[in-house]
Amino acid sequence: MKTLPPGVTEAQTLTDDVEVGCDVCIIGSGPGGAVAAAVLAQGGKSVVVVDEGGYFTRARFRQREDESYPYLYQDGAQRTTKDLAITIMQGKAIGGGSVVNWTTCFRTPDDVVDRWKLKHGVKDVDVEALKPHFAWAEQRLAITKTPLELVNKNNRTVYDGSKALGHDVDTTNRNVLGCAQTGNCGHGCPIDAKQSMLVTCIPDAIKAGAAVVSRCKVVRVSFEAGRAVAVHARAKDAFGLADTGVAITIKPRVVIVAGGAINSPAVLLRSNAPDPHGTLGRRTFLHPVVASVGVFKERIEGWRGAPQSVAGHHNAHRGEEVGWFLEAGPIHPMLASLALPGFGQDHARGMAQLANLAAHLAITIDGHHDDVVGGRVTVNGDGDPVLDYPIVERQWRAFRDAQKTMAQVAFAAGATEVWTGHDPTLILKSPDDLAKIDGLPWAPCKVGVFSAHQMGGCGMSDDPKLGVVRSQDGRHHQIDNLHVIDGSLFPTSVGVNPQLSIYGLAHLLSTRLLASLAA
Amino acid sequence: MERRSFLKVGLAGTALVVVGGAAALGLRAGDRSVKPLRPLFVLSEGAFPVAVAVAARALRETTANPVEIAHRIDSALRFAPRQSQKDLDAVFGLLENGLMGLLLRGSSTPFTLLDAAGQDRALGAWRDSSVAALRGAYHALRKLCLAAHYAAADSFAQVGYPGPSLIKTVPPDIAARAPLAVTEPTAEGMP
Repeated sequence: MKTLPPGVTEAQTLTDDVEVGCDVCIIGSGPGGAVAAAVLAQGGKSVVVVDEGGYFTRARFRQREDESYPYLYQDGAQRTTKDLAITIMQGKAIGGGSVVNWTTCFRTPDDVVDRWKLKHGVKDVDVEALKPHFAWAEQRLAITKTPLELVNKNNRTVYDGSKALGHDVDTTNRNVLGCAQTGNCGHGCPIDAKQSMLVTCIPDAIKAGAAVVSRCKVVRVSFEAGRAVAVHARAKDAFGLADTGVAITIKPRVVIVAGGAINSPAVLLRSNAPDPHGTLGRRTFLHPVVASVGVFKERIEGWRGAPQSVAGHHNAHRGEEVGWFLEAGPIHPMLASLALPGFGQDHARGMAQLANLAAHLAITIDGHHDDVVGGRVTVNGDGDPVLDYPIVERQWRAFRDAQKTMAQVAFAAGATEVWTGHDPTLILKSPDDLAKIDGLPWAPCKVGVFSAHQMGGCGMSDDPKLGVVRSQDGRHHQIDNLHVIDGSLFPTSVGVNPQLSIYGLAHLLSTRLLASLAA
Repeated sequence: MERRSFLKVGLAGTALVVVGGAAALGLRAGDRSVKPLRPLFVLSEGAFPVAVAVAARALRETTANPVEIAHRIDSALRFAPRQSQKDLDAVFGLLENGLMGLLLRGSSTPFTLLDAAGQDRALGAWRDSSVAALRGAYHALRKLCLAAHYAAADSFAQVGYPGPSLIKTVPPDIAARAPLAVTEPTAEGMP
């Protein structure tokens, strides 16, 4: 059987159908798939990585929202939940979400990993097992703590306001090397300072012989006698829009699904993968975000500097109530325009103050309470994923409380006004107005809710009734040579920005998988 | 209207029912005098003038050209899943529809024939609706218009945004690197 050459093949350039064999086919080149590709290729396995996203490099990262959102995000940044209530920002490119994330890195908190063991039947992933793999990622991706003097004014309002209130807050670790503070992490790093998968694990895998195929949309995986036998994909055009008519078939010994949350369950649902306990696609988590905008007399210019360099976890643990963590969001015109409420005159007034706005984000932690079970992914008649994510009362209460805290933080940092994420918005003039937040409507599409962190849907559990794959190596409970290695494994949300959790877990599971393949 | 039942039939299905009802009642058609400047990718000929009218209200304090914004919306929708494309096109149809207007705001006048204040009230009625799907539709239209304007460089001066800090030349066309299966570019910028 044919093989593909090491390096990137852009599927839009193929003119004939392709059928190749390999040891491991990895579906998805993001934080999970790229790490697995590097580990397995360096371990001597022949690896083919396929990804629907395009192969874009720094020459094409031009700090432009009109280029980045259509080409580097799922559905051209138009992905939402089924009821349109939550806007989902999720990466789509060779390198996946790591190409467009805002570089914040946290190890998975110990209490979260412990919860997986206690509540979700995870036996073979624990705090101690993960430690060396987080350390590997931190070294490989140059993850270091941001000095306070490099924090931009937007993030500084989070830091100063939280400090003034006596809340826990600190600068974050970031995966950058020689960052020039251009502020464009979300649009693809224009100077390759961000140590995304695009410039680290994907090249590592290629150097070890891996083939990477971009613009290659996996239609389904086929199974015979309890084993995955082929990955069936179609080539897309250079823009990711149309099928070119070229079929790509990969016949591997092992298949790793690494499309990320939402996409990984969708691939398995399209493939009619066994799902005897109805767990596939369920418990999909979003870290739903509500935003608050502070207006400052001084210029903030939230488009400059690292988009995210400060985080406050003061309210992450609230017992029976849903917790959240507080961070800043960059202020570029398009992203800001979507976050600001209203239309016409009201909206334009807000945009006119763009340079003086600070954007605060309360990132709520889902999946840690019995009634906060996240959403469910299904596929529609076109095979596209549909995420039904009902926001429950406990989450609405968290949004309300977080909106108050964000307003307090902004006022403590010197804001003259604070705008809630409602449409029409509530304008708070001082902390005395906080009680007005109680009177706001808390319902779908009354207040803006966003997601930049997608997790779960192919949960790991060593109890097949609770999860899709086992925790030792992400192997599917019913298909022996099918693995899932990406953020869709998490049995709950991780309660911190998830990229380092994915790198560490992917490195642990793929190292174990390599050992079992060698055996 | 109960939220789930509205969603169950789908926005596109609802639009068909309502459009049919409007025709049966002999309600007026909207203003079709605004024509696309170039072929449309996703939006129907009927939805285009409604998109222009919505853009004119959503971006009325800006330098945006509503016809150009409608074309950018049409272009952006190419990246959305097929079902979303159908739903969004149907949403424009619903906003224009006389029967829907009669039910929601007591006026059967199509959106494109309303005066500016009437159009703002119609959008406000969706924003404030007790039906979550209509609120969602309002936000979808709002975001499409705003994104179409504020992502592009011609919006930057008005909001004081300096634009990219590094000057990069346009990258070589992807066709120069290898044979390309598509014969003509379908978007500006990347690839």
